Amino acid sequence: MKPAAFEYWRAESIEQAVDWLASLGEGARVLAGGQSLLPMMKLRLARFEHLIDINAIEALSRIEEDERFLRIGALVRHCQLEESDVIRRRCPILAAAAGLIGHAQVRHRGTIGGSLCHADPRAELPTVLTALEAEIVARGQQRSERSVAAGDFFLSYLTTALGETELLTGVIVPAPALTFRSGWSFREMSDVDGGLAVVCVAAILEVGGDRVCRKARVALGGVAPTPVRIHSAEAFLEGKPLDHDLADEAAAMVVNEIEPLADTRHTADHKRAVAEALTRRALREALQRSKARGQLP
Amino acid sequence: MSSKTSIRTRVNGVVHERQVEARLLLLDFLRSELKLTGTHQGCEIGECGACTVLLNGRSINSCQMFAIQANGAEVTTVEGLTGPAGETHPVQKAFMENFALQCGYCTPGMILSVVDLLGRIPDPTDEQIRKNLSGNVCRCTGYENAVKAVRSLIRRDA
Repeated sequence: MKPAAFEYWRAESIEQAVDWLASLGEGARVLAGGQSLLPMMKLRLARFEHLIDINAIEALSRIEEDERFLRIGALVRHCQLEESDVIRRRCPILAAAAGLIGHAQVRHRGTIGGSLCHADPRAELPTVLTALEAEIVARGQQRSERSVAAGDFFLSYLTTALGETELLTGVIVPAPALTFRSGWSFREMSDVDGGLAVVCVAAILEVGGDRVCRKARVALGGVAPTPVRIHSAEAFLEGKPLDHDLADEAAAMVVNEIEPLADTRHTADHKRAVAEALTRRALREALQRSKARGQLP
Repeated sequence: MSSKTSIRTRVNGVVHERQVEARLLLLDFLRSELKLTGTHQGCEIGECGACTVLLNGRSINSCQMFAIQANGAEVTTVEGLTGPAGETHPVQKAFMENFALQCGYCTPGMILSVVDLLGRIPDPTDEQIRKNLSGNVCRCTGYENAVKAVRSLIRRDA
């Protein structure tokens, strides 16, 4: 079907977009890549009186790095995350996750800001940014700005902590130069290559020269109303010298911390089994990578 | 609420100025306004790739964008692949020679995806070919001949 009619507004600055969000009220929505928004409008699941197109705001399109952080603007497209030298070098798990989103046509338009605001718990970016403990930056009225930890940003299905008159402007990803070996893995299972993931896993392991795990981060998507950190598995791995058996034991803890819903294609039990299997593979792959010299994928 | 806005787009090298409703999809603009019916409507929600065009050189689903957003942009449709003297584009030729189409409905979209892929990766692996064609659904052929067609285009000296 075709979308219902709306008024179209083209913002040229962050301030203009935020002002319009306030003045146009509840019937207004931000339009970025449109890859999730347009299907909703075409299926008439959603209808808006006003769309505020932010694609012209150049300030939102940048990827910047300093010693400790990557700063990624809300309009950065998934293909840019996948292809960027900076992202591949400093945060390869983010490039890998972005490369699995949808198919090429989607990645050429979809944005990181849009994916986060849409907050589908199956999506790759909310899950990987939860594992990375990223901060999500929002601009509000009177040039106010705040940042929310990824772990606090996703409240439920398609629901975030973003205020109605706030614009998500970017993401800050900690990417320190590591003095120990970092291993990572992002795995997902989908019914169709390029379709939405059924379950996805982001695993990050920081391992010392003595093979002892300094830090473990494991986040799953598609198994709860929001991405989920598996704290029991993380605590289990931290402080221990890592091997495959330990990785498998940690993966087995996943089922206790997730609450997948059955859908038309998969039972809850099937999703639980997939979650454990994917986590096992992800932890093993992260462990392998932590043994390799440097951070090459 | 059918107020119209003026937009200016360059499609296949030709500049068009038109008045459009905001909700008009780029797909419908190309087909109904510009009469470029080579771009096809399939699922209409960005999952099948039948409507694939190039926007500023990158493959996108034209059903997943409003025409008004293409103001100032460059669009290439399958019609734009023909050379200045009417020459068939190498990708189209490879598709024909390798029997990579049957009914032809998915074909324009798939060909533009291949053009996009080879523009970014001149010598793709089979895995890269399949990954970059995953957004173009075909009911007829089973995809193998499309992959063969792309393989035949890879320049060994690249």
